[in-house]
Amino acid sequence: MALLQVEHLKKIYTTRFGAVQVQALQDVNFSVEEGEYVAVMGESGSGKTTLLNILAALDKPTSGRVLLEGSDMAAIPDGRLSAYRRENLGFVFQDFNLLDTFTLRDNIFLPLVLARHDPDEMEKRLAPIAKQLGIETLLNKFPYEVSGGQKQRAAVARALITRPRLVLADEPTGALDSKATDGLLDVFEAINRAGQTIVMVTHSTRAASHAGRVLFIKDGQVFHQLYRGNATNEQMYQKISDTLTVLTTGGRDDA
Amino acid sequence: MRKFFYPRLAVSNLVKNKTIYLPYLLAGSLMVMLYYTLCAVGDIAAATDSQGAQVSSEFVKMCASVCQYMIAVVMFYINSFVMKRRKREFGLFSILGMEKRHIGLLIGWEVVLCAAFTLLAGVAVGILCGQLGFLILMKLLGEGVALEFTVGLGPILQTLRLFAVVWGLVLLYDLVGIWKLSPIQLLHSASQGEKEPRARWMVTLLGLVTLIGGYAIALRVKDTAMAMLLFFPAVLLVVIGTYCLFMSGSIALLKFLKKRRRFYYRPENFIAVSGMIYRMKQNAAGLASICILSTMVVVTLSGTLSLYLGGQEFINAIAPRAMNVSAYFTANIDRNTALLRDWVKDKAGEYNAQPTNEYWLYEGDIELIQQGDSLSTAGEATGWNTLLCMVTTMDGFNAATGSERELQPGRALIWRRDGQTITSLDLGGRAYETEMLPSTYGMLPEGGSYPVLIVLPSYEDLMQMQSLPTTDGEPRVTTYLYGCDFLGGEASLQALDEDLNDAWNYNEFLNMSEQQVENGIRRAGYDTRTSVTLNFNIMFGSVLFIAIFFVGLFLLTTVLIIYYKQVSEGYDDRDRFVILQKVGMSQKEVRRTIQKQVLMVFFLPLGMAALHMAFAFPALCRILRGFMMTNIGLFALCTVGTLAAFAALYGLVYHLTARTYFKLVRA
Repeated sequence: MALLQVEHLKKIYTTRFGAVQVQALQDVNFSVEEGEYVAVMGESGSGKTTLLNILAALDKPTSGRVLLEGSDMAAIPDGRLSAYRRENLGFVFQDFNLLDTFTLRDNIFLPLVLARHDPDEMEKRLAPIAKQLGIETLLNKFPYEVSGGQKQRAAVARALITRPRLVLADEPTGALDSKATDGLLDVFEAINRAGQTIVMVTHSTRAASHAGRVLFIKDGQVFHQLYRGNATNEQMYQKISDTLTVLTTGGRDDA
Repeated sequence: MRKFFYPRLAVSNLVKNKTIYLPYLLAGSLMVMLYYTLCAVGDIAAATDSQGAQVSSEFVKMCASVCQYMIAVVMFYINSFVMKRRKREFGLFSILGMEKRHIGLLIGWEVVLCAAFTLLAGVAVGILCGQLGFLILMKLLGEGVALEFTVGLGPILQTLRLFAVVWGLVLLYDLVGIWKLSPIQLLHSASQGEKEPRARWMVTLLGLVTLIGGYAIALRVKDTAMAMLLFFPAVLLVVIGTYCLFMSGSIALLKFLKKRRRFYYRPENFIAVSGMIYRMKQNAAGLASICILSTMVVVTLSGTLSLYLGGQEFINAIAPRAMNVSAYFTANIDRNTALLRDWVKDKAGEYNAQPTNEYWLYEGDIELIQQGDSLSTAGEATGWNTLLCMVTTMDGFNAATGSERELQPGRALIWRRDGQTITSLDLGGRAYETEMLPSTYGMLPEGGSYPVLIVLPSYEDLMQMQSLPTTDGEPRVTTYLYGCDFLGGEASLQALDEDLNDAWNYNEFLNMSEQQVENGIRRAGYDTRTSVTLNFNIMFGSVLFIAIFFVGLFLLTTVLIIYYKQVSEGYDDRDRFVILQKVGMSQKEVRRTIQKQVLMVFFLPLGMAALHMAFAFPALCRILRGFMMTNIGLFALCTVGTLAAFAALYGLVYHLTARTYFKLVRA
């Protein structure tokens, strides 16, 4: 059974007095297997962020459902939702979302503290993750003292430390320069190789080219998908570029 | 460009920023109202024909001139906060193409509008409050008054003048602030990353030392004179201590808590402790000010209130009877007392009244040398072992205190302020066995400043002491106190009282006594209970009235600081709130955590104020004793009452402002 199943997802935003309706997602279907690294691509306004918000249980679909390990997310009572997200999902955001009142270490510990873990246990969990991400020496620094790439690594560590079923990344490279982007993508690849399932929303071809599978969303629907197969990152990059070109020109034909 | 472009824009800006401008305008109007009321009360009171009101109006005017500085400081404080919040907006305007002079013009219009609004509203309400304030003052002075509605131009002009200056300075400050900044700085000025504050151990230590020093001084104060002398240094130390501890002691404590991992890494403490470090850095000065202001409110109000309420005791101590004569003799004591008593009797006779309920007492003072637990006139004076003692007789003591003690010949009754026991007394070779009065016992009139009181069995004993030689060869001075009520018809008694209070009669009494200098009257004078009561009311009624105004101003300042702190916290916390939710904290949890923090921040100063009050209490009691206010129970009640009322008000303000805070955070 797939780890994540998305079935007939539909989301309609209505303005306050119901005057205007905007369809963000029309009918989205896909599934993610355990250990997969999936990138979701699409232009601004294609519904990427809406999709991610629903996957993250931050928003509710108008119709359709999201199953994580076979159980419906919509069935989780509101009171349990925060704990559920904390236990099952890890998040990496474009703008890092680190608290500037905490050191990197405390930022990483935050979800564990909320789950009332023992401090020694936290340290034990942190050590290998920090080593893997190369931030061991930065743990006592504050977010404003480190670079964007380092901040994002800390955010990744925070996402991983709860040992989530699924890591959701929203434009993780969006605020990084190209060197930091490469570094972060290598990190994602490495943690995926170690068995971590990742769903990443991005419109960067380069970021998507590291994924095992790329879903293309357009006008609220999954338009196309690409499997890596045995392709290298460079070949994958080329394939994605071609698809995007087709997508854009094809889109113009449809209109 | 459209007509009235800037005024329109200014109005819409004020409306858009109503969260910060509404309290600003309200506070401004209240300040205008307070100041106008003070001026108006002073003015109306000066115009009455009541002597008390005229004296009191001087106090009120003095208070107004002190108030104006406080008002200016508070207005500046609020304005600087408002400007900080709005710089972003001005940055946007300048990016959209407004030049600095345009922004200056805009700010000018805004300030003019604010000034016009606050002045109109404040004076309008002030005109009503001025009348009310005058009635309250007259009530406190114990004088009835006919209500007449008067609005003088003087107070209005005075208010206009002060606030024109204040608003002018505010405008100047804003303009200079805008001139100095570039558009990008304006845009970003509200959101500059802050470093984690460092705990400054030296400052913390200084704070602890000064605070403990201040407390220690306050606790060690033994008597009124010492309290008066040491209270202000102690207050200064405590103020320094409070600021130091709030600014760096709090951070040091939080850092310490942070190091204790088992405590720190709990959901309840994790966010609170790290958040508090920043909060304390930004708010320490404001919170310390709230703490000091709160303490001042409680001290001022409870002190004056208990003085006023306990006034009867003060009056009784100064004027135990309707008529009270005090005189100082060097010789011919029997002849002179008869002379003074006859004068009173004759005066009463003119109104068909006669003295009744008479009392008199003789007092002398003498320096005695203490050796071990004995007091004596003999022995070597080193300066350290001498005590100035007040001496009176058993009759006089009983008459003045209303007690019915008896004393065998050869025995003496001794009271010592410090409670130390004296076992033997020797006055020029005449030895006495001693009995001690408890040190808590009240003192005689005029006795307040002596450390020792000695009661001798008879007049003859006192006169024997007075005949002892002095070091400078001058004769010893005997104090004579005489008091009586009058018996007679009600109307005639009132006429007698008025006559006695008349300056002409008083001068006659003075002249008579001055002519008797060769006969041994050094000085003589009298007080009627009516005049003492009147003076008391003028003094303490005015002080209470002014205290109420100061308390109003302090409260207003405190409330404003709380409100603006809440608002700025709200803006700062908004981002934090969002992140915490994204990382997996429920909205309810986030709210609870933040609420707890805010609660701690705001009730810390109140707790500290209560602590200050507790340590100051004994010293304040001693100071009040100087005003003959010895009813500690009443003072304690006033203190606790004021503190409770203040805490309730503080809580209410907190609750009301917290709503604004959550609205901001949720947005």
